[in-house]
Amino acid sequence: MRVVFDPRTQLLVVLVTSVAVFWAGMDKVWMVTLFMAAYLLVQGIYVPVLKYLILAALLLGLQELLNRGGSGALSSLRFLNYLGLRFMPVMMGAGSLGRVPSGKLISALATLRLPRGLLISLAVCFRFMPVIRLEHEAIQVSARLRGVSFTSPVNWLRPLRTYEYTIMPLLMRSMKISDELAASATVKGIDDPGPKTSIHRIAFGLQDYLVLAAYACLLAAVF
Amino acid sequence: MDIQTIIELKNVSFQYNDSYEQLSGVDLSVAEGECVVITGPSGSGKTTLTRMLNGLIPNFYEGKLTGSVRLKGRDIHEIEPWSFGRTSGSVFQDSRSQFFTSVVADEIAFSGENYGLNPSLILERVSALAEEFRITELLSRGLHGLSSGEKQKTAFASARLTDPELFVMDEPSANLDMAATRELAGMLSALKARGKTIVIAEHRLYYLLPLADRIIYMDGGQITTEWTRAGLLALTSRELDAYGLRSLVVSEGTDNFTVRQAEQVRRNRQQNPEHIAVQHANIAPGRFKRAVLEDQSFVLNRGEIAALTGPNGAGKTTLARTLCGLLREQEGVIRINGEPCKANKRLRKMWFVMQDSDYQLFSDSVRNELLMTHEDEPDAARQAERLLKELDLWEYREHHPASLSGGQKQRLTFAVGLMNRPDMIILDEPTSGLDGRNMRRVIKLIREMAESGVTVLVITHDYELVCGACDRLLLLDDGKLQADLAVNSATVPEVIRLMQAGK
Repeated sequence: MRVVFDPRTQLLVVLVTSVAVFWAGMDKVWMVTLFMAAYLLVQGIYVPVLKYLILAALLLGLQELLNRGGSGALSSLRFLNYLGLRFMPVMMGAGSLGRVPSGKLISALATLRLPRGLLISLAVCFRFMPVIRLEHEAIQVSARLRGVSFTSPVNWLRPLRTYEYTIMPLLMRSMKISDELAASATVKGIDDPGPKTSIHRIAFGLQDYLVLAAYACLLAAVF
Repeated sequence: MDIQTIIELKNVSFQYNDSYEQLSGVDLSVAEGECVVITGPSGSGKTTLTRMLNGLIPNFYEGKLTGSVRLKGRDIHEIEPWSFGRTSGSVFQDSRSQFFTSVVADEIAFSGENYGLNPSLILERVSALAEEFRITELLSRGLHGLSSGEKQKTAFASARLTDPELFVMDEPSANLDMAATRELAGMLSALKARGKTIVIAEHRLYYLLPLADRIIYMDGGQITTEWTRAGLLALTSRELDAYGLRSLVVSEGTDNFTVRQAEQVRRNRQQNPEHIAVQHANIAPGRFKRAVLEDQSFVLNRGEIAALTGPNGAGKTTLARTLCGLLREQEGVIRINGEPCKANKRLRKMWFVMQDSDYQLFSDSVRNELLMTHEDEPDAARQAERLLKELDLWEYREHHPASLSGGQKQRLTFAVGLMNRPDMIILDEPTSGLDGRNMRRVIKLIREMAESGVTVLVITHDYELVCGACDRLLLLDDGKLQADLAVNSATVPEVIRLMQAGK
């Protein structure tokens, strides 16, 4: 069975985690990682959890290796590895937040009395992120056809040109799409200054209290 | 009961701040319950006219507006910018950018939430509309994964949520196949039966003709002609051609004008030598994905023009991407001139023209666009000049590609492909948003490419393109090539039947 958390719970989890991973000792970060894995699993997110756990195991192994080697040249690699391990729980939490439909997220944020201008810009950002990804994919397909994609090693010799051919079409498309998106929101009254409503009922349930209590216990154990 | 005027434009002129496109001296009045179709060549001001009816002009697109535009008796300057959505519901062409939310139910509910309607009332409306459009099981789905027909139903339901009296649409059929277009016609006639007013800018007239009370023809920012249904049907095919219109009825058989025209130049290309051969291929959208086509074989002859059609998700795009080497075939062999040819080699021998040219143009001028990646070839400049002249782009050679019109951009992507002297060109929906004149121009271009020995595969839902340009129709469905038949005046009824069937 899948548990659905209130978006505010999810947001809180991400915020708390991003502080916790910095304060927790390096030997205890794994506890937070495991908690996040369980947190994703109860929400029915399986495959990404598996990927995260494998990545975590690899990073831990690499860390052991680097610690033994102890050469100065590898210290930057060690630092990256360290960052990866620390940030993983935050990415996991954000991954679950990212699955909330934007409409629901916005109405949850609206209950926090954030200013409307901020909410609208957030809504646009949420709407825009997947668009950018799709656009980027489409552009890369045609870049491969033209032979100017960064996926073919020949073009690594001309990094500036390749960068230009990656970014410029994306910018052009983004400008056009953002214009059309804004137009379609305008004809549906997004500018109405009156109070807005939402079809999503936003309320804390038992599952939210339980997960927050469990997280609090875990953090108490970590510190 | 009096019939009231809902839209009244008097001597309206408009010029965008940053563009040449404009309206000049437009007079139009539309009565409540009328269905008015606006047609005319691209750039004639159809879209601009619709934008005055949903408030995007003057509130969103800025420019100089003169004359008077009245909606339900009120001047549009007196209407609050945000409240247009209560009077007019809008449906646009591009399904990618007309949705503001990410889930079907949220999108349908969107305007209700913005106007602060009671949530339980909104939910009631959402489920009633979903039931009417038979999309109830899609409500919790993401918009991104829907077919274009389902997207257009969602857009329609969303426009109807606040139950506006006027509906404004800009080429709603551009991305639909024939089956979905027929459903669109059904949704429109349901609206008309409820006494709603509909203003619709469109190039495809055949599905609108049974509904339209008046057809308005725009050219150069002016309304130049107006027909009744009967008046339009009385036009000869030569007159339609002169107006640059698409055909009015899906005519089957030998009275089909485009087919008859095509017959005059169609050569028997079946005699040509074998060019591209697909043998026992399994085609999948990724190396570890499930195959969408299994054990398929077919042969295209040199210079043949084949149409590839079929419902959404049948694997048309995946097949096209595999043919041009963007994807590897999982099993089987693809041969060019009898030689097996692997994906990375095909990448240099094939060219794919996407539906949206914006993705394919990278350079800062039209000429440089052609010379890109050909810097080392001594002959490139001359070849580029020849192609640009052939495609009527030579006078724009110093322009930025982004400044060209849609049709010009499309021709430029043709030219870019032809620079590589490809064996095959694959075109994805090349005529979806085109008026009759530009469509016929594309047909002519495709024929010329084929004459020069390039084999052409066209992914399309446009029966006019199939009848006018193609030698063959390949129909994909259920992971198989379901039909492969020659297109000629004898088979046209069958071709149209197959294309209309849809899923």
